Amino acid sequence: MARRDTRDPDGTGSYQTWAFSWPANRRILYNRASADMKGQPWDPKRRLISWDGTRWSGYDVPDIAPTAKPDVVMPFIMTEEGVGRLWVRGLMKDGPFPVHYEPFESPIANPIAPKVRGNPAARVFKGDMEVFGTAKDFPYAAVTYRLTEHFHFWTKHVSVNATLQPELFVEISEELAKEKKIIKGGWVRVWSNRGSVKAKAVVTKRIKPITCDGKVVHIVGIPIHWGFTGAAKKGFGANILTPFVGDANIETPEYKAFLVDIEPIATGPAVS
Amino acid sequence: MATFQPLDVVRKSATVTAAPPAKRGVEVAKLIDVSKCIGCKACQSACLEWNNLKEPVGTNAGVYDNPHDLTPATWTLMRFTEYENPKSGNLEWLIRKDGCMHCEDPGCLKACPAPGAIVQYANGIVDFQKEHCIGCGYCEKGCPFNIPRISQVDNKAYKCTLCSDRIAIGQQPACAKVCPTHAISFGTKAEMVAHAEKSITVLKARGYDKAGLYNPPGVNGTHVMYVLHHADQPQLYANLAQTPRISPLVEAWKGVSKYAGMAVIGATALVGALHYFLKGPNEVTDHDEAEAKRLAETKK
Repeated sequence: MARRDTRDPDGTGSYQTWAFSWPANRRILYNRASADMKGQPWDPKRRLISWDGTRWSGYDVPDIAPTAKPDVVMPFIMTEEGVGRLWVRGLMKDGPFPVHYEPFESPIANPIAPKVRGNPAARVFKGDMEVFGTAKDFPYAAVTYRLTEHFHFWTKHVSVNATLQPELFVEISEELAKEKKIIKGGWVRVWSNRGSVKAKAVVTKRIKPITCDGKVVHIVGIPIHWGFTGAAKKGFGANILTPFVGDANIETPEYKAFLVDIEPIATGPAVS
Repeated sequence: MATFQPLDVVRKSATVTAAPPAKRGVEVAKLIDVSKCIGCKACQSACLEWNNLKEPVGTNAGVYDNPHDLTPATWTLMRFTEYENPKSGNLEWLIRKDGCMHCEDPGCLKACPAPGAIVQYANGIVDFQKEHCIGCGYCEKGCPFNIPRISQVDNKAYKCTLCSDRIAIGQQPACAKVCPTHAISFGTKAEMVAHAEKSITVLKARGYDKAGLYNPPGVNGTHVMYVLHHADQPQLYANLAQTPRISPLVEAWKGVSKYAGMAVIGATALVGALHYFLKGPNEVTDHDEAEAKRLAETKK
């Protein structure tokens, strides 16, 4: 097998001859930051790259133009100022200060601006705005997430990962299970204003009802991974339920917070 | 495939005479630090991968444990327990990697009637040799930890081998290799006991004053050990045995009754011999001959 050399002569842990890092076999991004302003390594014992007066060279592939002078070009080459941004000076659509807005579907009103729904700078298309649910109809806060046994949706095609967590489930607290007469391992239907899924119920002490703005809010946890194909049991995609919101700055979907209702059902879907 | 050789075997099931000359080697052990486990099941997947096992895709039973129990293809299984600590008020998610404990005094080996189907190597590993297995299931009865499972496909018993094929060539078990938090470590038993001590000291400093090593004396210690935050209550961890020992039934069957049975056979032979010398052998009398002749003639 090619490139299986486990030597690491400089002791930096870069293993330059083990496999390959796309695109230039560079092992550490922004490795210019491992050297000081004069281009000398902060830790001489673990030199990733250094400036010899004319060029950058070293054990790792420099993540900077090889002839960029150390006092002219700063390490963080993807930002204008060349340094890391701990505090953002501009560019935030809902800036300049970080503010918490409740999600578009929330069991409570925005604490700082009760009349505004969600983040006013977020991207929502017209038709999607109409399919938001309210806490009156959908009293439970839902969240989607992945499981450690899986990698995103991909591993539903891998039998080992499918074995370790075979079937779509939702997680609820013991309190909500009691209230709704849901039994551990039984079938439930979970629905939002956009769709409905059927899943097994995992009743757990790890999820507890929380108190928001003086009212008790139950949480429904919905792992993603399942679909209509693959090695795992067939199951619904959690994103049938989620809202279509792009966050204010980078338009990441707001899939992690929305409203649902839940009820026990006798049998599951005829999908597998 | 590299594996242990006959000379590495120190104990064999149902075999008394053929005790091999192998000396006891350096004992190895796997240490599972439950306090460092994050329940990712990497060990479970590595076990399936390395041993080329195919566990069918099952169902969700309302818990994270999958499959729901050990099977002939699942030799290790994460068992999840949600424990509300009455002392601290904290919820503790106790996750124990279940599997063969590789007892120093293995109940399976003691119970096994098939010569050489279960062996113990000089380093302490207890291994099943499936070509000698007769699928009787006595190992299941003999095991104090309820580990071996009989396959419905080939009617042989299966369990964790402690990756004896990897250890034979100086590798660590697959589960220890993949564990992302180093909750599973492998080395000599002495090293692992010392390693556990370090972790126990840390746990005690963090308020787990009952933290300790699970290396039960009832089976003369094990070659898979746990660091537990609550070593005084192992049953919290999905019913880990508090004081595991080989079933008295198996002990009696393979111990007392064996000697008693031999004594009965011996006594029978002795009485027979005595009878021979004192009374002599049975002889056919003239009367018997006459009777036999008469019977034979009436039949015609």
